[in-house]
Amino acid sequence: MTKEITIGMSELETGIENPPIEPYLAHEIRVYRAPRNTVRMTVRNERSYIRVRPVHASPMAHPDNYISLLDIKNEEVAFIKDLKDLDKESRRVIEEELTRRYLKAKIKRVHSIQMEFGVTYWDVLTDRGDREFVIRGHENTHWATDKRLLITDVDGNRFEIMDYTQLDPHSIRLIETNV
Amino acid sequence: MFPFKTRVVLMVAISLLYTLAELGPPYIMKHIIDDVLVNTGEGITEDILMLLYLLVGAFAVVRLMSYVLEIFGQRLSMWLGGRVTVAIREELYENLSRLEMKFYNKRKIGALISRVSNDTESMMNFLVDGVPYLVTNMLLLIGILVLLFLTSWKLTLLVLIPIPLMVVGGWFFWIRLIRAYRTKYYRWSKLIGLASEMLYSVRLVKTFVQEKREMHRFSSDNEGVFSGDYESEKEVALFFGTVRMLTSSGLILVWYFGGAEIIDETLSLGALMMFISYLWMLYEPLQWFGELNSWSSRAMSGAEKVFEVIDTPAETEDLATPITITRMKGEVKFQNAFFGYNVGEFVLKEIDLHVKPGEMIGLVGKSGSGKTTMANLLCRFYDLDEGILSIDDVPIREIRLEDLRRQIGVVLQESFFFSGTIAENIRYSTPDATIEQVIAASRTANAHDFICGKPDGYDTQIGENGKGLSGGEKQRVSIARAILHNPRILILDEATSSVDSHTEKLIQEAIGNLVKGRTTFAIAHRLSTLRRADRLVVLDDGKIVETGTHTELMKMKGHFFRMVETQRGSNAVMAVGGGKNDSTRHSNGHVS
Repeated sequence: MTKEITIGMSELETGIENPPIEPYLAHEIRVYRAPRNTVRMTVRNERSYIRVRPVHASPMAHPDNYISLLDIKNEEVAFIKDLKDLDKESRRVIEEELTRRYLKAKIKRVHSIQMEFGVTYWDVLTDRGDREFVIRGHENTHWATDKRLLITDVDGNRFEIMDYTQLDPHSIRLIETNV
Repeated sequence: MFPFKTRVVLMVAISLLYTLAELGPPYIMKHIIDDVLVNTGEGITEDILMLLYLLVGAFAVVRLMSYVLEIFGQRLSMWLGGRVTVAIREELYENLSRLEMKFYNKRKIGALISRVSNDTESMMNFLVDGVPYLVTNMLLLIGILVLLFLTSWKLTLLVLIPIPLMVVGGWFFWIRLIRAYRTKYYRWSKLIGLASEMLYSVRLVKTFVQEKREMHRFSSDNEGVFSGDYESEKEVALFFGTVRMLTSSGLILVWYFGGAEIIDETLSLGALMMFISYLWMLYEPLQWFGELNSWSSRAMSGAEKVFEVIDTPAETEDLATPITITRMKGEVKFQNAFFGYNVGEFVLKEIDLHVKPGEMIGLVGKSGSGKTTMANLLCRFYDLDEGILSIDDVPIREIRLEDLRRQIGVVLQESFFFSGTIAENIRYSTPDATIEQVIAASRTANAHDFICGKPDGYDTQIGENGKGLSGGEKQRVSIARAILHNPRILILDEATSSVDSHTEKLIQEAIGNLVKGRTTFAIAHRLSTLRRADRLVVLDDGKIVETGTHTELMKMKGHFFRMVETQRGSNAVMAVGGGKNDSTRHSNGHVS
């Protein structure tokens, strides 16, 4: 657990007085459920972390990479650059956990978007029914790609439009005008 | 204007065609009256009917042309005015970012924001609406005058009587109005400055329960804006009333003398009607020229302020042939250096200091002793008044500014953030850094774990003041930014904010990682950081009074010794009084 960091910043790796503790990497770990609702991590079958929490390091800009596993003290114990680097079972468990944690309602139609004093009120139809939510300015809308829009409302709820060009003309017009 | 040459030529051509089209209808009307309507007394012939159809057809075509040309002309002028304003606004913004810090010391940020928004806006209004109308109406004026003289030179001379009065009056009005607008805009920018100041420090206002006082200041300035507005609009009302009165007197003369000429059969009815139509068209732009005065006054007063900024030279500019240093060693020398923010008031005097590459210098001294000024000079926010400041034996003035600033990193006492994500803020000085480099820097700064613990991780939005981050988190994000910047010379204006002992340890570790191998100037408030320094430089009243290691200075029992004793005393008081962060202060306050 005291290796030097190995990703990027080669100049920084030399002479560091308090080298950061480097987390385990994907090929060193196995993730599984034991007991059923607890995510456990084992390192090279030598030691175990009985409860770990997978989180996205950059859920908006890099939703498919850079997963950090935090222990019960919220300290990082493993860092996964790409889920493909994990074994099949570990990948399945982490994906399930991430889906649960980063539950995103998919927006099917935008009824209205109204701006007032830097706050935007959205009225939408999602895959979980009609929703009204509020976002602060443009801060919490993020274009993951040219067409994929990720939104986080003031309460931390997440919404997603996979491809806004596939929505109805009214919704497209509202998004193009307001986002 | 050069990049838009083709469009400018096109706009002039459209204005010319539009003028011709506008001059057409009264002329056609004259022929309808004189050649068709007046002739009906002798019976309606096919020739007369045909002439009527032709003239009405021509009328319709001319109106249609005028309609189309007006739309194209307006669109084109909007485009041109908009583009020119965008270019000016960009130049203004660019110059604002290049100006020396002294420029900002003397100005309110709100007033500068007003220059970027309001003043460029009034310039745009003039360019979009004013200039095209000026061109079109000048052409129209010339065309109308020619036609009026051709119709009746006597009547034309009569209607021109009020014009010299309007021109002279307009000139005086313009001078008065520009003064009124200057006052008005000064008051507006003062009000905006006051409002933005209040909003930026709303926490301070609330803490000291100063809402009423702030409201009173606002009301007083708001009243000032009203009186400024009222004074200028009073001038406008007086001028336009007078202009209208003068134009109607011209019309009275035309009806009187024109009517007499019809009775004498020296002028036809159609010609008089045409004359009156042209007269309306003549007075309309003349009235408008009056308005142009107020329009241009507003724009001129805006332009004056915009170009004041654009024309202010960036005082710390590169020399004609600056020296390029791609990789500094980090050797810094102050030689007999003097500097003052105001002429004749030196805040740094006789500074002689030689710092070896990789050395860590702790700058110590009372508030106002000149520590931050030394850091500002190293960043070349200001130039020395006397003496030499050199890096790697090259005077700092001769080093290419971009090279210098690229290799100097600053971690400020107050962390500054831009509205954006944590990742964007960390990679602010290194925009091309990958997310992996950002993560690596954050790990070294002990920031990665808390960032990952946030629901949006590195994508967490933070406001201008690092909204949503605690004091300790802000410091570590700042350190991560400095690590990613990877400077050769580091200025560490260390934060004084109290943090818990665990965070303190994390910050100290992060600082340790950051300073290693870099020439560092630490404006230290924590003695724990000072102990890390290779040498301490004690400043008092702008002069270096002591230099040496921590142990040497303690043995000297001079300024530093007294400061340590004072701090030790205040820590003891805190301990007895049960200060909020006792443990932190005790651990920081240790002096061997």
